[in-house]
Amino acid sequence: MFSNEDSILRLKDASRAMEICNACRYCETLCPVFPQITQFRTFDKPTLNYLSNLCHNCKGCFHGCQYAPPHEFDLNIPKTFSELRVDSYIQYAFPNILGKLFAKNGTVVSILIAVCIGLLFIAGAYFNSADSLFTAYDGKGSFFKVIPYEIMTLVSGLICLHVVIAFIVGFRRFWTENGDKMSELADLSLWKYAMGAAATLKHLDGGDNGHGCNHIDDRFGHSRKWFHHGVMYGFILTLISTTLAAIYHHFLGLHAPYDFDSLVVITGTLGGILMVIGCIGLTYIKIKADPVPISQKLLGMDYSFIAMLALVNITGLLLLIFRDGVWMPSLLCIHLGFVLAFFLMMPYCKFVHLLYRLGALLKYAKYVKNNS
Amino acid sequence: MKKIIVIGGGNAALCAAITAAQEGAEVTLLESSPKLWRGGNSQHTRNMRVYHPKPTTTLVESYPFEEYYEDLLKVTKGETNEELATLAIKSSIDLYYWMEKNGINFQPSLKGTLSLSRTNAFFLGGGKTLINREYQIAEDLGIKVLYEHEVLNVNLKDNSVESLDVVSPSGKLKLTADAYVAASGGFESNRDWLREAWGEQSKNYLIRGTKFNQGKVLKSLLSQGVQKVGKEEQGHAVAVDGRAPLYDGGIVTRLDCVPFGIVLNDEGNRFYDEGEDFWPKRYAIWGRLVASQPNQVGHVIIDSKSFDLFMPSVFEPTKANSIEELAQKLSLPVEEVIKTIDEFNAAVVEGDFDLTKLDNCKTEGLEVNKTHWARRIDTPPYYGYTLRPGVTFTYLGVKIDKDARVYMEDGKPMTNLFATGEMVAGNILSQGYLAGIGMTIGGVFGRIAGKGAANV
Repeated sequence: MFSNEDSILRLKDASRAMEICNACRYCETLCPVFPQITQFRTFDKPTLNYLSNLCHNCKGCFHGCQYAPPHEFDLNIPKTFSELRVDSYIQYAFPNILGKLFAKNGTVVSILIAVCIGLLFIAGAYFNSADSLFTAYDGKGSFFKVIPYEIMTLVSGLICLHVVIAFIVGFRRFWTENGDKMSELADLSLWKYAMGAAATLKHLDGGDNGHGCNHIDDRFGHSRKWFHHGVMYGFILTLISTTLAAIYHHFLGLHAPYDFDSLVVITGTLGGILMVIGCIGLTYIKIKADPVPISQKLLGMDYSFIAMLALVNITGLLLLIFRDGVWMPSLLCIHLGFVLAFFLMMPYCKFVHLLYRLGALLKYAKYVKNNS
Repeated sequence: MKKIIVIGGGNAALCAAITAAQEGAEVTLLESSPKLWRGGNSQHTRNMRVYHPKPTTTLVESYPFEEYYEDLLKVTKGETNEELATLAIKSSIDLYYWMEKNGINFQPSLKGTLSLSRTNAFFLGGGKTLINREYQIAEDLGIKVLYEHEVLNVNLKDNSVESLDVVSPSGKLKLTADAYVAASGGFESNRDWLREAWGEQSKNYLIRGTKFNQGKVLKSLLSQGVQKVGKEEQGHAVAVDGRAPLYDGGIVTRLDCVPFGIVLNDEGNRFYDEGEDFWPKRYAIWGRLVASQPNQVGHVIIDSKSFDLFMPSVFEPTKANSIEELAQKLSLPVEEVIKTIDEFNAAVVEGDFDLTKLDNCKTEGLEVNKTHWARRIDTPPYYGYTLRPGVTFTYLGVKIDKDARVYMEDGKPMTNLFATGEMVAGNILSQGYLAGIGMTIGGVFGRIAGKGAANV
């Protein structure tokens, strides 16, 4: 499905498509991809990798295209680019061998989740041998009575280290592929542009007058932007919550679970709810959307990622509600199972979109700067 | 409530249908194509020429009425209907604001078309985005859109339309209404009619737009005593890449390289001054020039000095390291081509090459001189593109007045038939073409026709 041969055919087709776009240019102001295309006459692999990661998959160019199917030119840029993006994820993955996981993301994620939850129950039973997994605990530090603190820290520390290394290597591979130097990233004005565009998702506005994009059909709208904001800001809030918890634990000597009115719980809950709403909304859009500009091959990866995100948060919220009862140890094992699977998959699932999108925006910021 | 039928599914038809519905009429729109091919030639357009006394959101500076009218007179060589042309130009700014108000998005002009940023309003994302939005507005207004409904015949009695013969997926229908708007385009996609109008050479013509413009409504009306405007053999044709699709090639098939090189016919000879004027101005004449050559082809030859100077083309050029090899690859008589190029190179007068103005690079002493941007063709690799005539639309149409009302040959106005779009362009464009004026004519008379039909 994502073999080398397929990838070569896709590159050839994408380069043909780009040449048609370059001769037409009607989409020039829809998003950054099209003004970038005008800078080239031929399209090699690094260029196509960059352009496909610069694409926000808003489908404005598909619904506006006079050469979209059934036209014999058969242009379907959102679909072509979404598949090229995955080829590029596979190419950048570190270690390379694990790039193969992208090809069967849905299956891998399901198995991984099952294995992680199973392992946590086993660990819970093993370390918790004095009591059963169905006991109500209360008081500070109750979570560690199920899974010991040292085990939790060691496992999460090792995984985090791996994720950081994999992300740095992947990003470096992407950034330097078309000749950009790592030292150029010291230019803070590029970050200002890229972070600003990412924070506001301004390229999902469909152009200067901000009418939005074609998420579902040929009508413009902002729904995908808002649901995406839910996921993105929800994720940031849960990161803040986790960081705060670490500070409380290590520097203030305050141990989980935290009170309902503590900042850890407030940011975590809010983030969790936002992410669940965002995930449901994004799934709804995917189901309702015109299927032609969507790659059916990628639905497994997309849905498994959305489901994983949603389940991490739903189980987290359930744990919060039932943390004083007998279901706490089981819910903790299930929740940590999802969290563990999520972090293990991080460099090999849709999550890397964040990394390469930011990289593509930085490259685009460089173009904007040089041309203003 | 008045019942209106609009025949056609492009911008002109939708402007009429939307206006009629906004006036309170019950509107049915008959589009002969399936939904995915809807929009006629409008799906391939990108802008509309708009008169404006002051800048708008996307139009810069001003484009005074007098200048627009002068531009029109220049291309039509003075032959236009002054009353209708004045009305179309003056109403173009209202059309622009009306579209904006209805949620049609415009954008700043595109790279490579900067010469049009003052005169033409660009539809965001191009004509298909415009068409999509117009169908959405229609849907929101409750207009009934029937795809794959082709009108074969308009049944006239006295000065009125009695009914329409329609073929649809569910069989043949006879439809009636209180008033009708004909907006179903010209006949450029009807190969038989093209042959009648232009002779055998038309078999080599490519059609840049929709394959659904069969001209059936036009033919039906003209055969029943409706007054004709324009000549059958008048239309807008440009030179396009010879490998373009037979239909719907649209914008990408154009080739901007003519002023940078020379153009040979199938016999290896030059036949027209490639450097006569700036390309946007001369672009429209090359369709006819090529059409009059043997086999209706022309071959642009450039060398590597010029390759990056024009808009990228969609098909790869023929490339060779010698003129001899290039001539062979293009199936041209080798000796004749070498002779033509040698003569051309020898006649070049050195000057300061400058794309932005009519420079002093020219040839002297040739039967057909190149008057600007002439440079020797001497730096390999050499590139060749084959040109064919690409028909954009035809000008034969029906006579209308300022109310978009159709007239009979005996000079009587029809009671319930209005027309707009390509079917009426010939009232204003007797010949020649001004970029974006087709959309203006269609939109302006579409709104007038829709209003007229809703109030018969």
